[in-house]
Amino acid sequence: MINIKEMLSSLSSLMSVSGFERYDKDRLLSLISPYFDAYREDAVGNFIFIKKANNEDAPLMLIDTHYDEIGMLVTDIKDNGFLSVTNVGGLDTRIMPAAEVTIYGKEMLFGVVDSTPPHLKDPKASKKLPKVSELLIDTGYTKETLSKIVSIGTPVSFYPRISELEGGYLVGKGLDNKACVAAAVSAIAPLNADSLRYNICLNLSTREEIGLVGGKVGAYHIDPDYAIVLDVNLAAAPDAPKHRTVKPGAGPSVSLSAVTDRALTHHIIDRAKRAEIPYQTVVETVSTGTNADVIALSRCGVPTAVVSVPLKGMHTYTEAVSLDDIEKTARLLREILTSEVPK
Amino acid sequence: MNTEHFHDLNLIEKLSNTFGPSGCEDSVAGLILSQISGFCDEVTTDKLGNIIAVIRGKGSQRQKLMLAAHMDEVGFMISYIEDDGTLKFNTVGGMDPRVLCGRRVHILNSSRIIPGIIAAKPIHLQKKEERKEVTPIEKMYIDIGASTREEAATLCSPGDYATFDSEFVIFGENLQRIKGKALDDRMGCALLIEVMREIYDENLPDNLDLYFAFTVREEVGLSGAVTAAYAISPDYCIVLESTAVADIDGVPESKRVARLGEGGALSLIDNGTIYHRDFFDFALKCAKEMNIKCQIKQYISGGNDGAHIHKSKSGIKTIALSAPTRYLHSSCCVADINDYRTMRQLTQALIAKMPF
Repeated sequence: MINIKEMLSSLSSLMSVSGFERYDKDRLLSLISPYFDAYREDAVGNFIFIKKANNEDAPLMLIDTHYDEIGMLVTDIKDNGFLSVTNVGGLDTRIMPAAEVTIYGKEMLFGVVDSTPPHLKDPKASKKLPKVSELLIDTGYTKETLSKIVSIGTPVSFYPRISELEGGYLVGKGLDNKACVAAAVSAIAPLNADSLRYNICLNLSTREEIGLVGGKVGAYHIDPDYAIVLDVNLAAAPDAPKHRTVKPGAGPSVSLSAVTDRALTHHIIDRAKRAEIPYQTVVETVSTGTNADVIALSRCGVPTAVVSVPLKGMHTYTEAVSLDDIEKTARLLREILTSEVPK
Repeated sequence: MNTEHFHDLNLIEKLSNTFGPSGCEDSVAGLILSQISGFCDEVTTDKLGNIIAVIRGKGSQRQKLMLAAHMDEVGFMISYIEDDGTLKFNTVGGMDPRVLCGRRVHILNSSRIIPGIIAAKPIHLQKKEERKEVTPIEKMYIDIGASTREEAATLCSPGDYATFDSEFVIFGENLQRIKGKALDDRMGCALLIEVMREIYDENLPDNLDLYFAFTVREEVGLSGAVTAAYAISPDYCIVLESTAVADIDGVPESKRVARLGEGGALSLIDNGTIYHRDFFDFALKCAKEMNIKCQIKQYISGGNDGAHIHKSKSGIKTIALSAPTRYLHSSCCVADINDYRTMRQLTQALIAKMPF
């Protein structure tokens, strides 16, 4: 069995800002390839891992877990070693002043985002959040040296650090969606060809955060009979609406939506019940906000369902996920892959 | 990189990583006491918790020089446990709400550290207006992984202190920059420790008794300095501090306060003190003569223990020498190790030349 904590900690440390998913490709492959029969890539950089059932005619199941993470790109190199950046994906500037980042130039550099000292704050503007374009990254280099290491377009990511909370939570950056990558690999790894009811394509899809790109392209050429999208979902928080969030620590959530396939969704819920895996449901009426929205419409349509892992602090460097939720998600996926969808 | 480069960095790292918000400085005090043991003639801890260590000079006409650095750092205090197990908190010391969301914190309960995260509503659920505005501290909460009040109450209680949980990092060109949660003012503490270790026995001053005051509660009203200055009753005081600077791109030169890498900043005036002009001039001249990098703080901002010390009893000739520090009072204070070193050199030079 895979140690989920170790697997997720390793995955979180990999740089995978949308569009730059290849950066740590060798490390990624060494983590995941051992559990699959074959591997291929496509034109948008999707990492596709294949595991075959004994029965060649078994239906093809696509499991889509996006692998990219939000981040930044360098837009300018300023005097005194400061960098300005633009965002890749939904970056919340609320968490950026005085935050730590890693700059992936010719060398990896440490940086701190600037924050305005009190004496310079305009009391009228004091409630305003900085725009991304106003952020400056302090590298501690001279402009001259910095220009040799970093160029316009160099990716920047949150500083990778893993920590824990009481109650079995792992904390770090990029757990959206590496928590689900860990769940998928952990589910599939122990399955042998005899037990599989499907031929499996696990797509660690790229560029989800900037428009569901890898999910769409992957679904087209994989051309699956079914698809299950594993993505994180917003965990309940004191100031968040209950109907848009899921409960952390209460197991995977299954999406109920007009976008997803009802029979497949009911099958998943049925398997959860039979195997006594705690689960929850979330209503996402006309959009799941995941790759499922595009996969379901691929070619002539793909019966698609969404299973989610609750995530706290989404799109921050302190995203927190319950390791128990990942484990239960993996168990549920294993149940699905070893049972047939009723005709 | 020679080992000398890391000697003082190791000390600053140890001090900066230690848990010590205002009013809860015990761990810092313990570390300092272990570091200075055997390097002074006398050491006492007063009723507030200030550490006062004395090194007596050789001469017969000795005056008293107080060197002050504060042990406390900005932090948080847990104020309430909600039904859902999240914690409400207040800040201890002045903090900008902009540098709080998403940060890791350490909460100290009666026996151990509990990790937490300062959280607020995720971007996906924010309304359009909310995305442009700073989240007020009242709307933030600390998540410790508990899902009920009962569960949270087994881990911490209202009144428990917290600080940022932030790794110490050495970075930048030639590894000259340091980042830590409590450089303000553990750099000052490290400086005092190093000066004591270098002076004791071998390099005693002639006509000075040196009083090293490691003060408490600077960040919440400079309380420690009040009693320390009273007890010591010095003739002179040098406050060793950090000062917030804005030497960042786009800020007008006149508003940058001071610059990293240009040496310690000597203050003429700040929000709490007009410093003793002759003492200031003496320090500046000493720096020039000894060729020690030093700059003058340019902008009237901030304040420190000097605000109380200079008007203690009949008045005390006071100056402040500060390490220029970016992003002060955040989890990521950034300073330049060379500034710290020039401050140490200047402090030693002043001790050798005083009284003036």
